[in-house]
Amino acid sequence: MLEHRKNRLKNIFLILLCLSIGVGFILYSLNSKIDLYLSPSEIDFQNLPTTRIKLGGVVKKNSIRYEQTLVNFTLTDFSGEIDVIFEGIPPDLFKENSGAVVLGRFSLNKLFVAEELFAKHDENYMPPNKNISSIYDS
Amino acid sequence: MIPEFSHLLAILSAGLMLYSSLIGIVNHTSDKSHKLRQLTHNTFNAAAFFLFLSFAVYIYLAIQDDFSVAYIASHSNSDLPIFYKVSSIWSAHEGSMFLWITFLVGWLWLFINHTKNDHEFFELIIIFSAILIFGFLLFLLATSSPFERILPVTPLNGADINPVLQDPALAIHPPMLYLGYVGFAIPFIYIISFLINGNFAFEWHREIKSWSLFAWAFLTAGIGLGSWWAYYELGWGGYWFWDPVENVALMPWLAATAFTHSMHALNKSKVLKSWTLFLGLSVFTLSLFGAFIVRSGVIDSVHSFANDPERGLFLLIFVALITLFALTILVIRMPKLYNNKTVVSGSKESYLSLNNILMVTSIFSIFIGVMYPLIYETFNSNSVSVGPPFYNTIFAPLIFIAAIIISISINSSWQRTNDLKKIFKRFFVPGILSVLSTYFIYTSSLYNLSLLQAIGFFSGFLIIFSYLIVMFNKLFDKVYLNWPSTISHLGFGLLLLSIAANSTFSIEKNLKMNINDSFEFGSSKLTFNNIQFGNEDNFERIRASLLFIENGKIFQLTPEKRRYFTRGQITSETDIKSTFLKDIYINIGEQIEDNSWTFRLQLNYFIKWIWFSIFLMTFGILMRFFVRAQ
Repeated sequence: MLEHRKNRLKNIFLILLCLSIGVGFILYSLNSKIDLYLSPSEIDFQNLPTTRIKLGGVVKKNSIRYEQTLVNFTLTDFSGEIDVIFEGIPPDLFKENSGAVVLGRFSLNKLFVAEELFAKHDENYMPPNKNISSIYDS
Repeated sequence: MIPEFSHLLAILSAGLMLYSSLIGIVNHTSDKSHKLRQLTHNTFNAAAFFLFLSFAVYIYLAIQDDFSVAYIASHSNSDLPIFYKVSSIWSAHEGSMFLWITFLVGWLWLFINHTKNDHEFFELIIIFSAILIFGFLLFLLATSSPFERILPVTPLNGADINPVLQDPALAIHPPMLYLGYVGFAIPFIYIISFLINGNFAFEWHREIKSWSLFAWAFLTAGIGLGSWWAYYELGWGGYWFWDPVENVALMPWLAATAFTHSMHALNKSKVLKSWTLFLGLSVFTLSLFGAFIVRSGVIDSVHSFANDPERGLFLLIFVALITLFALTILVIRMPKLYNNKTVVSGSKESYLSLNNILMVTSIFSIFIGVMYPLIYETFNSNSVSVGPPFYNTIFAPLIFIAAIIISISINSSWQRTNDLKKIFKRFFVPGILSVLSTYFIYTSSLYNLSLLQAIGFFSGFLIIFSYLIVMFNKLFDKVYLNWPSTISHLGFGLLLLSIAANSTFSIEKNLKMNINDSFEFGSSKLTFNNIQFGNEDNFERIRASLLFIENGKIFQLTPEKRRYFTRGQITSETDIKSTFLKDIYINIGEQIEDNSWTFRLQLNYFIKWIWFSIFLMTFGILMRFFVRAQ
């Protein structure tokens, strides 16, 4: 009986050990692979993030300019603004006053160079927890 | 009048489902009379019939352009062909939920009337089916009713279906996917009934196996169709983006794959009893979790469908209750399920178990990836996003190990161990061939092969070579070959190979061209010939015409940009020309100041092969129903 219990305890311990090692690996991998998701007003220009980040906001009115194969535009959350440059063809739903999400880095001249550009396709412009209606009301 | 009729039928169906489950419970806990059991069954059938009728009437309403129904008015239009009038029903939340439930009832109704009614837990199956359906009907009617009307002023015409949804692949993608998701309600209900019934000698898997395989085929085909649609209609230019909406479809698929495999082991050598039960319960639970994620908007996705806290809360509570109930019963019954048969190490079922563990690991990793932004947000002021790099690094090693195990397991046998020497000998040939092939690609390709890509190539080659060798042996000896399994696994190997090849060889170029400009790279040349403006019934268009010349072969490409009148929506119509190895994929962008246009040219290698391999996997499973297994 005691032997049986000992075995069971050993098994439980082994399973827990394997599980925590597994979760540890996953979390470690996550930490090096995730991108911060920020909105323009959260960017501190004195201290620009150096890693790749995701930026979400609304494309400012009359800010889209096409130059060769580059697209320039301004991303805003109505309290902060970031100039973005993207090489390529933006998605169909990319337009002024609509939500867009970009993935990329800041260049030295404070311009955000987007590697990827997504247009959101619902009425929810902002990164989560940022209520659009509260911005309009104020 | 008619919309109310459809609405009434759905309400009636919900009521009858509740009634059926109540009689069932009363009868089951008391004298278990045959008459009352018959009543439970008949009530269930009547409820199912009413729901089918309700959905049929709803289809009729959509075809007849009844714009007094708010949902139809905002998602359909009288100019649409009948095909899209019908498919507009599942183009948004309410209608797609209605379709989901109709399929749920359809599967369970088919199953209940197919199984023998002297089955020992027949009544339990009906009770749980009825409760499950009642819960979802309540969700539909209370929080997302597709029956609401616009009265007394009915709109003259509907707001039209989103043009990107007017596509045959999209019209059949949701139904296929739902048939897959919901199909796993059958094993779920069956397992719960089996556990409650308490006769553990009963071989529950026998009856459930074919149903699960069918549902697996639908799920696989549904995911494949969705990926295909995103590629050619949405103009995304890729097949998989690790978006939360895609991930929640992949989790039940992986669980379903693990489940069907471990059911096979259970069938052959009576091992993995409680493990298989657990997997069977988890497939449907993960499907429900997916429905919750997609329909509640808790996770920030580029394409979320409905962001309604009320719906989210209802679904969360309902899904949590179902999951908790199922797992509690499993845990309570677990000690009695004790199996004196253990897995012999080195046997086929041992390799199968190992791959099962890998699949569960990958489900767990995806789950963490999907939930991590939510967890992170709870403890931090800002948010994060988890993208492809995470999933790629997690999946590559798992697939590498899985491929080796698959290759070894081909030559293993059930219930007994093979000696290591023999296994090594058999593994040697495909192993060496795969290493050589991967090395050949590494040296001959102009691109740097990353470690992840090399793993993809090696794993794909290994699976393909292993099965080809078995097939080759079959030519000379009269050995038994499991054709359905061989074809499905060849499909899986080809899938890995195509994914690796696609990511290695594909080229993307953003171009700025004026009329008569050409662009040369390698041995190919792209020339921009002209641009035309035109008007159609419901949209205006810009159509560019380009020539792509490669090694003397000429491809005419005509990408378009359209503006639809009803919604003012702009869509791009990609033009794709396929050769054996690649797709020539071109998108038109914007006109810029000097009157030139931007284009995106993509050469997508092996992308057609990805869908072909998904077809092979599905075909292999369906073949099982026509080829007698030995």
